[in-house]
Amino acid sequence: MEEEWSNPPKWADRMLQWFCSEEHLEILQGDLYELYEYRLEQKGKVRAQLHYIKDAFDMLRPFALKKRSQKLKNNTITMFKNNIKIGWRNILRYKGYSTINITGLALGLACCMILYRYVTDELSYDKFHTYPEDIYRIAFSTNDDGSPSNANGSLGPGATAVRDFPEVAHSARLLKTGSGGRTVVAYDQKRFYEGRFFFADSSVLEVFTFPLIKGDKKTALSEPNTVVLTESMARKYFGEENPVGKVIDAYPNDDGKKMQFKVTGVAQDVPSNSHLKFDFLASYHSQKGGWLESWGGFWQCFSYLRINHGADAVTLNEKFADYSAKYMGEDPWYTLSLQPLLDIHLRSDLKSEIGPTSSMTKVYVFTAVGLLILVIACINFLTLSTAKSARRAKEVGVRKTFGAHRSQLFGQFISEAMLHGVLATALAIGITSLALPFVNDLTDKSLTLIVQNNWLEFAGIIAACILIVAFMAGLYPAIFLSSFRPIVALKSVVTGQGSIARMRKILVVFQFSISIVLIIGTLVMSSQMNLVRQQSLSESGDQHLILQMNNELRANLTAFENAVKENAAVLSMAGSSRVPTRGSSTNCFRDEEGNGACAFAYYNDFDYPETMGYKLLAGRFFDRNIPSDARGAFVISAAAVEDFQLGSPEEAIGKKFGHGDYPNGRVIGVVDNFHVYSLHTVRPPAYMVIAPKEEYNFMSIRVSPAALSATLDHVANAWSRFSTEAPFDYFFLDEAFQRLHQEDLRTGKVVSVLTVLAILIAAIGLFGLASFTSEQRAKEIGIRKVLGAGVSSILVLMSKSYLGLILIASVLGIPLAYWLMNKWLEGFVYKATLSPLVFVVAIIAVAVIVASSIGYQSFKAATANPVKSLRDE
Amino acid sequence: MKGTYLGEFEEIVLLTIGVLQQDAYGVAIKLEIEKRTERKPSIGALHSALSRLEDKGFIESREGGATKSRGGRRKRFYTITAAGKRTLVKANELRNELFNLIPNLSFYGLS
Repeated sequence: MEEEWSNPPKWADRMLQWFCSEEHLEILQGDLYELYEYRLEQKGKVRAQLHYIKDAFDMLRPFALKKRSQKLKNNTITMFKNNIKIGWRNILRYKGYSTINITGLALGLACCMILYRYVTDELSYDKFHTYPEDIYRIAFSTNDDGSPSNANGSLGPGATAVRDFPEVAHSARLLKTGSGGRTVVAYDQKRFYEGRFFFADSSVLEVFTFPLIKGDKKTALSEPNTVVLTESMARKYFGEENPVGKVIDAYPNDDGKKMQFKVTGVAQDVPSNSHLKFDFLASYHSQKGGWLESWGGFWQCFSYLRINHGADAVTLNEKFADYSAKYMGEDPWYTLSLQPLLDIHLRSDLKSEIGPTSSMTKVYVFTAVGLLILVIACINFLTLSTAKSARRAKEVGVRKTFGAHRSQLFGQFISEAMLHGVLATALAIGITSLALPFVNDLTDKSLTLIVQNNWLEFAGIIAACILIVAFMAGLYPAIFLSSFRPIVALKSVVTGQGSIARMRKILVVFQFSISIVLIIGTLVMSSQMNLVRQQSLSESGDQHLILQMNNELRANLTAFENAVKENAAVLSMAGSSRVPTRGSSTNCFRDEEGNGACAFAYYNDFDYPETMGYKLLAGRFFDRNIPSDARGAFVISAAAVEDFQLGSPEEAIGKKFGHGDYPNGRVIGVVDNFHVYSLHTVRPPAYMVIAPKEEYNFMSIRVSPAALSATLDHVANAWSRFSTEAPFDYFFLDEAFQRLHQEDLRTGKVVSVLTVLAILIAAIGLFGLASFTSEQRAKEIGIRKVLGAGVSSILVLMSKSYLGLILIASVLGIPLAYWLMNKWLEGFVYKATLSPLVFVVAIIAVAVIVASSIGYQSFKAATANPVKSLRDE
Repeated sequence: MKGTYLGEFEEIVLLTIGVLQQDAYGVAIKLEIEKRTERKPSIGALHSALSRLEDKGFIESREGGATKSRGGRRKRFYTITAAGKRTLVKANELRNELFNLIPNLSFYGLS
């Protein structure tokens, strides 16, 4: 009989069993079988089987289905609730462990969340424009191989490209004028310095997507003397008034003359993830002169173009390679190429960039570090969970004896890990929201926990965090703990620890290698940053206060200087065309022997070299009492002596120097080389020469560091008496030098924060390991003590193995750190020396951390009463 | 609980159970319907209807003993409850009543 019934297809039968509720299964199956038999007789096997399959599927009806929710309620949900309850009790029972565990995980997760936000922000740069892949920047190259060297360039190409190439839909230039990089903007009584003031072609609003709230983007910048400003600028200058049609004053050019602009539009604020940030866009043809379309020279001008959607950028780029020859003849100064907009922030490293950029390397490094810290935190959880296993072994044994299946125990431990994950994630969100303001401060970004009210994404992040913890941290302990054999577990002999102990040791070495690398990194970076601080400070510790000049001050310069000098703290002051850190102008000329060279030119007042504290190597500084000094006396830097081949500094004195304006120029003094830009660049050849006050753009004041704020008040007071149009503004030279190293300083700060985090997490892991070992060896220690071992010998016994681990970690970490830091320092022309002391300090620091994290547990074990560990057997 | 409305197919199933008396179980009901009417209800549809009728309280079921056929599986036999009978009678009465109300009983062209 049985064979006859095995005829219907088994899989259909099995499917029926799977979905059909027990209540109905027997009856329905019976009916199906009976029908099958009936059809077998009537219609043959094939059709009977087909009918059977069809009927089996036909049973997929609500009444027949298993009541899943009910079934879950009966068992799984109850067990899940129970697991959570047991998990919670375990957390409360071992408060110390739980705190360590959850804090470690939360730190790792918070670190990951922040870095995730950071990296996604970096990757989102400039993507808010419509068809951002159609936007290109014209990059200029003075390199021999034609690879782009400059982000800025000449004024011509940005205007002609749209006429000469049919593929180009729009092209636009953004031009910054004035050497200070900033201009005073005034409306009514409000006067502020603005640094993000550009002259721009009207097509700039077609090339980029910067929506206007007020005004028409087609006409807003087409007239001369019109300006578009951002929403927040509109609020700053106009409050609640409608700015359109109002006229603002500005002094953007080097001549310091007032220009007036009619507001024709208000743009939305530029998103923080735009490489190009502006506050004011004045119409390009507000400027007058033939130079506006010239192909020569390098200006603070950035040219962008938008190609027709779908046009071939590769061939266009090829056409650009010899484009400059068309306007500049056979031997152009530079070649052109197209740089995709989306490459600017992360994949380019050009001179005179419009704003600070980042690099892909940084994105990769931060991603890697974020993941690494999370992995370390998860490893700690793993270590602590397996270390606790001896305590849980009995529980596992009892559960198994009562019939718990391995998969149920597995589920129990995974849900415990998930409970840890939930708590850690909650804590991590707290940490992240507290830390983000500092991160934003550090990175100059505006990162938020929830981006643009995207709760769905936020929920996804939370879910991902919980699941990552549950599986990365919980999987191994769950497998390990659920694998105990009940008899062995109940006899309290947990086997299989050997391989885990070895793995734990490897993890500790790994963690401490990273810690050593990070500590060395922090130390080296901070010594390099000390070098930055020393870059501009004179030996006396005097500060250099720099003011930006304007026409009112120039008009009454002597009176202003006298007013400032009334204060005893003002040691010396002088005007100059340029100051270090604020742009430069280079002059190239030949001496009488025909040796050509270039040097940075400074047109200044008599006291300038002395005010700047430059060290005299030979000759003398300018002297007001020597009439010939006023015209054609040069103080040059050592590098200029070398470049112009004037022999030694002493030999250079009295030699002919200078170009067309100074036919009788002579060298009167040689100063040591001085920094003009960051430590990444060579101290340039430079010369200083006396010039009339019309040439001065800056006023440098050397002040003694005592009572700085009183001195500042005094200078401000003098300023307001002589300069009514421009508000008082100043900067300190050492701070300006530090700002040139903003990226380095940021990297340094990020590394030191990561160092603290990594060490903290590693220490947590070690604490767990130490507690595990002392627990495991409690009996051994008890016996040793009974046999007469002292506290100190047991402490040595407990710490010995860790010393070995530190040694291994040092051997691995130091070469890596040495290599990495050398790579980092390669970027600097002037670098701090890598002293061996740094490595010793790092090892000692790690040793101290290790000692303090294992010390507590070891000491507890060593001083415990042996009776306690030996009595229960 | 669902309403006590009796669908057309449900009515046929209910009547067939009445016809089959003690022998009304899944396959038997299906075959009987196939024999009496033109339609071939699928076994799934039939059981679905049976389950609905039971929910509405028109029929009740008991399980028979194990049989040698059907792979040794039991049958479930259905009988009409008092409520089921009442509903059937009511439906029948309503139909007759409406039928009688039609003015010209002998339709033109029909008889």
